[in-house]
Amino acid sequence: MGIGRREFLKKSAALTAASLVGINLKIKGDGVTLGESASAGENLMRIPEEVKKSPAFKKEGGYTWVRGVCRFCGTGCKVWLGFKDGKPAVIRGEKNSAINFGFLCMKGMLFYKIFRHPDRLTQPLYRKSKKEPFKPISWEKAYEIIADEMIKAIKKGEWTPFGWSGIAYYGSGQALTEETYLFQKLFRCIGTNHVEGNPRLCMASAVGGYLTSYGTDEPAGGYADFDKAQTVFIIGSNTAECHPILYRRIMHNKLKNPGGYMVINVDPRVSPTSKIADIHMQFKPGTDLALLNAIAHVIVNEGLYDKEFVSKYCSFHIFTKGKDKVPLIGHEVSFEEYKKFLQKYTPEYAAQICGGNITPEMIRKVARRFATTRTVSIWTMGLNQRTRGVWVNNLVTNLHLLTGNICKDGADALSLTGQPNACGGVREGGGLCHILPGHRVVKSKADRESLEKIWGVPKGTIPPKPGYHTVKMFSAISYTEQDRKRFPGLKPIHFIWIEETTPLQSLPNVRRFREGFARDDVFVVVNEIFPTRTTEFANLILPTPFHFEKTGVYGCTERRSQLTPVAVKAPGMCKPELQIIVEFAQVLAKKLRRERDPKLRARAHTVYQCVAPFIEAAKRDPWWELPKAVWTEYAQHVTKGRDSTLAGATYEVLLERPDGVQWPAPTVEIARKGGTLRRFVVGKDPLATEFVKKHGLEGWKVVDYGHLHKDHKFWIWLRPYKGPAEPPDAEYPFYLSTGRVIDMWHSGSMTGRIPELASDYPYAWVEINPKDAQRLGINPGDLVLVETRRGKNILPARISTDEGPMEGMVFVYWYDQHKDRMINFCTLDAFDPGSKQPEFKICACRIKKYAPAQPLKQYLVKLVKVKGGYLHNAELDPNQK
Amino acid sequence: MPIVSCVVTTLPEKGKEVEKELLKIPGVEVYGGGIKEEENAYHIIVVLDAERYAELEQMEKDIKAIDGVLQLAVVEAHFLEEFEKIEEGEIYPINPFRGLRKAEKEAERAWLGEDENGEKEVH
Repeated sequence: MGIGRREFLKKSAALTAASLVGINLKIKGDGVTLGESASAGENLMRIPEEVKKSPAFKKEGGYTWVRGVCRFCGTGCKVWLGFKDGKPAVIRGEKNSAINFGFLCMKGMLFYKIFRHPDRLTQPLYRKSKKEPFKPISWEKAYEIIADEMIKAIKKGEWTPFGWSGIAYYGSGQALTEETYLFQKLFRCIGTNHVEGNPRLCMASAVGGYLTSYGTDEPAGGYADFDKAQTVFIIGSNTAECHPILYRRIMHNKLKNPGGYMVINVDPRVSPTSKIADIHMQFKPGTDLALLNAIAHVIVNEGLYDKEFVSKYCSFHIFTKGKDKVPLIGHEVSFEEYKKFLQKYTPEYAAQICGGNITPEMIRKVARRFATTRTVSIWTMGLNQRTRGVWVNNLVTNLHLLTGNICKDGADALSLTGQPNACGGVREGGGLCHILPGHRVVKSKADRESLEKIWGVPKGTIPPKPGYHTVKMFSAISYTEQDRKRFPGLKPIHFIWIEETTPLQSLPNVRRFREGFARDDVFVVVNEIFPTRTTEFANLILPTPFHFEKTGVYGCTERRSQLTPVAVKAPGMCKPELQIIVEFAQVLAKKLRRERDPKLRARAHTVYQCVAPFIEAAKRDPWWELPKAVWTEYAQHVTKGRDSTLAGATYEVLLERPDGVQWPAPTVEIARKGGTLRRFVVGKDPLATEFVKKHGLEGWKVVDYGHLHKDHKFWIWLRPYKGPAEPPDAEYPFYLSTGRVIDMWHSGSMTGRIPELASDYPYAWVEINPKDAQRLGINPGDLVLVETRRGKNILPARISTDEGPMEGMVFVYWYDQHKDRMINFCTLDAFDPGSKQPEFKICACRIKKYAPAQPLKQYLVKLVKVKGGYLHNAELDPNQK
Repeated sequence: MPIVSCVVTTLPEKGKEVEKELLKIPGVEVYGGGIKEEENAYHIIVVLDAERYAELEQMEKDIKAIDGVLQLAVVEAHFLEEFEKIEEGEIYPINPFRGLRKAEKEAERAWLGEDENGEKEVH
């Protein structure tokens, strides 16, 4: 690149940055000749004509630009991808986006490195036995094999109230909404509710929390509330590292109003998020239920609650085991009973339980602040990945309901999502075993029938009982005596199709699941872009496109759906998942038609009908027309009339909007304005306005129209303090907690392949409190043996006096793929009885110095050419199995 | 050779000092800065000019380590030259599937075996 061109790019980039913050630079971006261009080669652009005619496309500054959304966290930052002579050349934030206002994080600007990465999977690979090498095969052959193996597995299993027991689908919060929707539709039409996804590992407790507090899933407000808030209550979230653009917004508000804007960080660990906190509440892991009840105690006892809001819009509920039939409903109690329940949770009592730096006075101070200012609470895995995840979600929302800090500007209980489409795809698209698309539930006959009608399939197509949740599903694959004992009546699964996720790294207590997957009587299909710890156990690997290489919608934290159109050609023989589903379903339907069992044969037509509306679009244009057709069915038919309606959010509208659409968006007119920012508020939420009219609720300013709440009120729950499933003891005296680091995304299968990022974080480490390290004679960098009752890791120590866990606790990141550093060999697979989300955040461990510091290398799963095909490097190295 | 423009946000009283410190970091070009009183923050516009992304990482670390720096946010990133090197396989090891063009073509041919109705034959 010539100097002139380079200088021009710098000036232009600087001016773009300056324009976002209103700084005048004494330079101009013009006057430089654009003398250079991309080298000759394949034009990699694939931009649909409809996109070219929309506001999501532009030509500017010598580049061709296409607008989409970032995929490296759940924030939903809008980005422009620029092309020069047909090649991806530049990434820029969308300045008109109400989410990121033009800013991006370092991780977000890197996804271009995945487009043509040499490790990309580019053709279907198959092996009959997991002991053999993979061989390349055609797509047609792949479909044949999947269909044969699926039918074989169905026959090996049995028909149950949740459908065929022998087959399962496991999806992802990173799959597009259209993909999750169509995958789950296919599996329901085949006849099973064994439909799960990795959001069970990250979001399920938040779903349970909202369902019980609001009677319906997902938050009432959104990010805009940060700007009007006076207090931000951050609990169980390292926002600075996991949601840097949201952290920027909070920090911006804090700087603008340092005396009036208070940040309270509630976390057993001091993280970069603590940097801007006015108060950091550090407590023993798992004791936050006591802490939150104590805050409520102060609010109620000091009369700081919003009496009008509570009396008019809230009711109080408790679930008593043995007395109440439905945990989501429990039974109603009075305010007086709630007050009595809280009396035990004095600040003194809670401070004693919580330990750390918690004092009774600190609890009182926080409670008074919470109650007397506009407050937004945010949380992530610190609350969700717990055996009492639903309860602790309820307790945060309780504080908002008690203080009326909800349904108004600057006040909300906002659960942040970790993945870009955990909300839009899985929670709204029906990607879990107990739910169906459009906030329907499997158990409801009316919900099943309404969906069957829309799909044009026979009544009774969808089995009436939920399938297995994640831990149970994977236990049905390992199917050991221990599994059968833990889940009485467990039926084995013989076939699983995994989409865009790597459970054999991300599941807790993962060793036992890996052993099950190694067996040859379990057939495993994996859709992926790179080899992973899960493809190691695959029989069939299907290569799929990366982000911007296919079209689809992501729905982020704040009920906001945004479209990313295809812009880059996918490498090799990659096919978009939607095309795979449509083509495969036709093959499966033909095979089912030949089956003797009438129950199986009857499914042939249903499976064909499942994809029939999309067959022509798949043939004509699988990159644009097909996803558009699937979205149209989903948004305009399946969500229509539901609280999560996106009926007005057509592809045309989504292309127009710089920041997508927040549901409810029942009409195109509403969607064009961005949808509904504030849910449940009469006059602002079209569904609330209609609801009060329909039910004659005169004078109601807000209304909880959640389908579970027949009293139309928000519910404050009585949830007692209960500790973690495996607290430390004499044998395992430390708390072990796990999480994510800023530059690595989840399992590291993508970010770990960007050598520059990997060189910064080549391997995981264990964070130890300096006092513990000193006591145990551990120095920074020493190799430390971390042991739990399930497994062990050997990790280098990081000891910091500025950041890190409290005394008696260690913290490990889970992105490392090296066998000795995969922390999920150690974590616990106990789960919340309601949400079924595992307790990744807390288990007991012991640590000791293993060896002095020594050089360590990054380990990444790769495919290696061997005689007769390809094997994973781990399959060739017994030390890595 | 990526070029990345960023906004470095600092405590208002530290802005000028941070600007000076930024100038000491190789590859960091300061284009200007100013206090935004209504935001109680000082914003500095910088461009990171690097041979490889690895250098950007180091620059990011060095910037964040300066006393008074609150955050560094990316606005625009140019990467065409580096992308072309990736595409050409100059930067990373050779794609293990590159030698399998023939197999790919055979597989494609197999896939194109459609009947006259456009439906795939089931073997």
